[in-house]
Amino acid sequence: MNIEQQLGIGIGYREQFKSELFLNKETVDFLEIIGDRYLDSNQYFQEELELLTANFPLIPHFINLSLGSAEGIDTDYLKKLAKLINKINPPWWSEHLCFSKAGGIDIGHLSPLPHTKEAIDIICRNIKQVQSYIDTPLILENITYMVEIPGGEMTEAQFIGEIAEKTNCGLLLDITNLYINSTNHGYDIDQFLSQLPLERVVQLHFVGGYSHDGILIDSHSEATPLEVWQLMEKVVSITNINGVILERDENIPPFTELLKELDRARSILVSS
Amino acid sequence: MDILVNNPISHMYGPYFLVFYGIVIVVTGIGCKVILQGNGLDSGAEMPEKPDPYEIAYLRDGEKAVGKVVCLELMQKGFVRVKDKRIERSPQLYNVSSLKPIEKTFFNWLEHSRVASDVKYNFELKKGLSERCEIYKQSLISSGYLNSEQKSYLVGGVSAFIILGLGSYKLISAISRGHYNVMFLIVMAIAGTIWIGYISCPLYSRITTKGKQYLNNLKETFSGLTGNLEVAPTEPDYNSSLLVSIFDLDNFKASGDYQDFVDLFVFKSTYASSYSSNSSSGCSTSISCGSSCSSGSSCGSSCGGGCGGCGGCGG
Repeated sequence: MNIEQQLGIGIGYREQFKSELFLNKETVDFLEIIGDRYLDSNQYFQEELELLTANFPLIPHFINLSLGSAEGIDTDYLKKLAKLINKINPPWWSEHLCFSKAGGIDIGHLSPLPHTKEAIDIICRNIKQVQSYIDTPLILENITYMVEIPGGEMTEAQFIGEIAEKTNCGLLLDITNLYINSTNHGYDIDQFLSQLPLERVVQLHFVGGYSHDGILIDSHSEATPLEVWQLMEKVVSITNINGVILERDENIPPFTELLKELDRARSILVSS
Repeated sequence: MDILVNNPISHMYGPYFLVFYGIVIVVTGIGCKVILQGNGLDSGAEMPEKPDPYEIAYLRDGEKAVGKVVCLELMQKGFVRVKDKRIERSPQLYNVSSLKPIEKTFFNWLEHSRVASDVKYNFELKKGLSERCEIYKQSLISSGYLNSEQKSYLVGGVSAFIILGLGSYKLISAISRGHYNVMFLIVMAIAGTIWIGYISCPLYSRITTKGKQYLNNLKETFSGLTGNLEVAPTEPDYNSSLLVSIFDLDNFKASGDYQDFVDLFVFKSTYASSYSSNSSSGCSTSISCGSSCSSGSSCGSSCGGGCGGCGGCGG
């Protein structure tokens, strides 16, 4: 896997700030779009996609492929996804390392996989099937989880790294998720990073969540905390990153606040 | 010369020629429309870094729309005010050199107080703004959003020449052979020419399909913008000018001095607005509603937040 294109600093597109986004076009290098929004032929969304494509480099990010499902991939969904990616022709696209469908039921949640050899075999099989439909490089994102599935045979980082190596995929390192998991499950971030094939990290996600009863919640609803900024500095200083995305979904502040976060991320990326 | 008298067209049996002539008229009309309106394949989706409100207003409705935006800009800069339903210069010292040429034109024209209809219809202002808008016009023509009058006349003229030329030739040919049942031919020639005149009329063909799509994209893109028309005008607010240039003033919420300004211009269109509201749109007077409804699927937009759901579940 070799991705050359440097996209810079971008933001996850949300319709709530569309107007301000276009008025500040020059300060946003690229957009990450939720690909699922554009899979069907709804005219409104297709026109929106056309508008975004004409004005920004786009990276599609999907949430419902369910790469970890033991029953395999939903081929109808996969065909639509492949069609969309061909249409956008991005340098890479991304999905989560998790499962969101089981027994034919969409459980509506990005659920963690057990860190086992068997789970690796299943997910690699599914990714190979996806890669047979789509040539564009796939990068895999680490998720947050409230409960660690018992019976794990390796660490999360080893699990992610082995899948990436076996399938030749890149990684989308969500540094907020990493910070949240390390806090909630009490593991060492440096050790996590040392076990990860960092040369495969293509893109970063960052945003802020909140704390509830001492547990960090990945709500995408707050400004990025200091710990995540420090983690970003650390990651970009030890490996090359092709793109960084601010992933704010809830409690969206005035766009100028988001621009400040983008500027700070840009200064970190430039100084690395 | 024999070919002019003896050829398949001059010998064509009357009813067959009328069918052929009808096809020529339709094809010519479609060709004329495609040349003037574009084929619709280029969607005009690319947005400039910072859209120029004057240029957008000119595209949307020519000098009339530009006049309103200029008036608003001058109000925001403190050069102009609305008093007793008239527009007049503010009672203060002016640094006219800070104004753009188009604003100077408007300000100079406002030597005496004016009513709103003057901004729309006064010949002197229209002429002055027209000269200043030439730069926007040329830019819009080169971007493929506008047709020049010359192009409309040329395309219309050539199309009409084809229809009238062919009809006249057949008419002369028929009469010279002693056939006088030419009424259908004459009616078709006249109807075809009127149709071409309508298609190519600069008023009708002014904005291309690409230009219309660009305006729609602007409406979609900036429907979420809120203008700063609810406080006293102190300094230029780009968002307000942009909103007026895209959406006009019909659905604008404003207060204070701005409300006077809005009332001044929307007074005459109140009937039209209420008629439109009653008949079809069902929208309130909110600017964002008016614009999102134009997409025909504003309900779909609520899914935007839903996509962010991955955030709450580990993504």
